Amino acid sequence: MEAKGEMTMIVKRMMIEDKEMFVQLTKEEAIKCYLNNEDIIFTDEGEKEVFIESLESKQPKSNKKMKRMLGLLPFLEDEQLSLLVDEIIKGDETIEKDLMSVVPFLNQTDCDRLFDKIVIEHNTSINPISIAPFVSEEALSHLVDKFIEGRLKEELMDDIYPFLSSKDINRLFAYLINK
Amino acid sequence: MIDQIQVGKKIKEERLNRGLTQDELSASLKISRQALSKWETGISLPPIEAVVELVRLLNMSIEELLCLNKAVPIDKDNLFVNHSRLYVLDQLLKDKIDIKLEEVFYQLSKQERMRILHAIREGKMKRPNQFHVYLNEAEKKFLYGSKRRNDDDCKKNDD
Repeated sequence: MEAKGEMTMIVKRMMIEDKEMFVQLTKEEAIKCYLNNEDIIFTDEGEKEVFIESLESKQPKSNKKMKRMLGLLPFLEDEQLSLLVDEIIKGDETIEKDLMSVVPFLNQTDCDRLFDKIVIEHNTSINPISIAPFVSEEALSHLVDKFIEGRLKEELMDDIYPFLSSKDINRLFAYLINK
Repeated sequence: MIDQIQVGKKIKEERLNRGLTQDELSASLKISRQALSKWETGISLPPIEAVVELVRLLNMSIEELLCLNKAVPIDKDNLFVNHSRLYVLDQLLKDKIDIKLEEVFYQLSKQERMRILHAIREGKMKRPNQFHVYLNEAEKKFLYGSKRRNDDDCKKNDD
């Protein structure tokens, strides 16, 4: 008999051509799906806790003050949210922890500002995929410029290219094909 | 924005059109069959290097492989069937789907709803009539302003 840990799986429910399918995910794929707010299914509740704890253990715990502030996010003005972004850019790890809750409330300028910080500083604990859907086409286009200039790693573009506009996707692959 | 489920279907379709098995195509790409299977089911997208290799092997354009100019109908009763959530949301935000927002709003997650409300607040999307009826209290507060408002105020604002 196999040990309990070997039996557990993380799967994703998908509808393909009107057929319901459950596809097994690797941990890396599950992390991407989790960050994109996609539904993932754990075959064991314990496995779910371990998965979430493993994500959270890489980041500092949110404090009580931050938890209270998350509830107030819909009621904050743009200026107050910009101050929050300033804190994240300065490296406030307590806000970084709850970034996924903060980003939907930010205006375009602040999202782009934050994305620049994440992409330029590779040492940040924030996964760029978690913010990429909120970033403007212009900021993403600027990223392609940086990649073509050789200032960005290919691994980052692997994660980001699905979010680019058709024009930038063509530009990126024209460069890669001709390289 | 790429619809990774449609890209997966395209890879599978082109592989089958050429009479290739998953084992044969994955061997040509020097990847595992499991990785190819995940691309084909839309679980993940190929990395950029593999996209370049696929284009070369299948003799296709980037537009064709990544379904950039392909219009695929979206079912308003089940927005996310055969499409990735991020793609559908992107199409909604760009007003590229012929769907009444208020009729599908309930299918969106909390964060997706916030993105729509943000776009409306920034004037990038048109606010549907009587939209306040479909929103919860926090969403109304976010969309109609920081001062406490009742439903009559929201209605005036919608009109």
